[in-house]
Amino acid sequence: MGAGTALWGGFHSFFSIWQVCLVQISPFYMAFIVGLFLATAGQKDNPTIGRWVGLPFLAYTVGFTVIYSILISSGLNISKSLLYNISSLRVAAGVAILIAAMYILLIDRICALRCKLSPMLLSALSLLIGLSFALIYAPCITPTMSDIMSIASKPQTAVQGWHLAVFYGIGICAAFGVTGMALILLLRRSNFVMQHTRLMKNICGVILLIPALLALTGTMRHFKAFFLGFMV
Amino acid sequence: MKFKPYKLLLAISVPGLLLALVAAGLIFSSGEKVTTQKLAPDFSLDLLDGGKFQLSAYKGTPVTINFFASWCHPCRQEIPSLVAVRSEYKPKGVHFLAIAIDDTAKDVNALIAKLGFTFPAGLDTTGKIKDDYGVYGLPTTFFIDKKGMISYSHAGSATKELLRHELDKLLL
Repeated sequence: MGAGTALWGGFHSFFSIWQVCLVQISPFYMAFIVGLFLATAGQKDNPTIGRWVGLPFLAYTVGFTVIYSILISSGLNISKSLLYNISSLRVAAGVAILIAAMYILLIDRICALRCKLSPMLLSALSLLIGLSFALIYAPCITPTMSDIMSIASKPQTAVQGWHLAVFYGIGICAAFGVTGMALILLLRRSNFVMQHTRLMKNICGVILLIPALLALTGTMRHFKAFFLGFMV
Repeated sequence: MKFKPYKLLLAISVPGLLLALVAAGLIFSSGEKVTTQKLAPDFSLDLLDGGKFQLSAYKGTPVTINFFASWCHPCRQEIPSLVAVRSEYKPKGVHFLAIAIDDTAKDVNALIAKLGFTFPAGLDTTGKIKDDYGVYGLPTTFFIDKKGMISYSHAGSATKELLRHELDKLLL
């Protein structure tokens, strides 16, 4: 398997039946990226999508891909350490997502948050969200991912498998990014949304509170069983 | 050129994190022997039909453990293969166990009734067994030999051919 196949496998999984494997995090990512955009749209007269959404998207990709690729590369010892402590790490991820949700909810209420608003700060927040989503995610394994995990599980090919896993993760994030960007462009054209940015931003913040609370209370399995159970 | 503190922090932390993780992965993976087999962690699991499964009680016989969830699409695809292969290998002394993770008893029982599971199944309510076995994705199947060592693990939907191949190795 080559890097291109892995990249396409990740990208393709979002737009196929394997979306059911990603739906644990995809709606929350959309809420996050749209919430960030609406938070900036409410502050700036003409926010440029490239700076205000593109940079955070890249930071999210780095955060998600690094942790996700290591977690599925079980031949690496660092992967075993992370997996052994994943329950505790998921609680920490819940705290990070809670911070991001509160930021989106409170940005127009607290001057200190509004004054510090910049693409770089949002990128830092996105990096944190990317790391956190990779931790709370419990993927079901697509055929391409299964091949990558098989390569990455053997110590002698673990590094090669990890490289493929990185491309697979980037493929997933690219699909998230394309969809998020399309959603933002669509919402930007809607007069209702642009006239009610505060309300829509708050809805995004509340949606983002869901995974935070589920991760903090260790009840993510109820969400998966209830919500994903409808889809399969 | 002046950097604001958080910009500097971001500029250092992102490449630093990447480098640290890559280096750690390479360093810690290089010392491992290729042929090493890991002892399967022992556990006790309450079965959904009311019994109990203690892995150490099955030492001396091959055991296949399948981690799954009711919401997992490839897990559902795999179940007919597991059921068919189990009926072939049960008379040869192979034990099968299905462990549901990230799930609820109600949904697992509904799936079992729907798909006609015929082998023991339990719910890992705390996630302890899953963490001990290092399971990240679903489904994942572990093949444990007569000595209690993990002979092979497969991440993803297992075919009948793969299951037969690994089980034949356990019976040699």
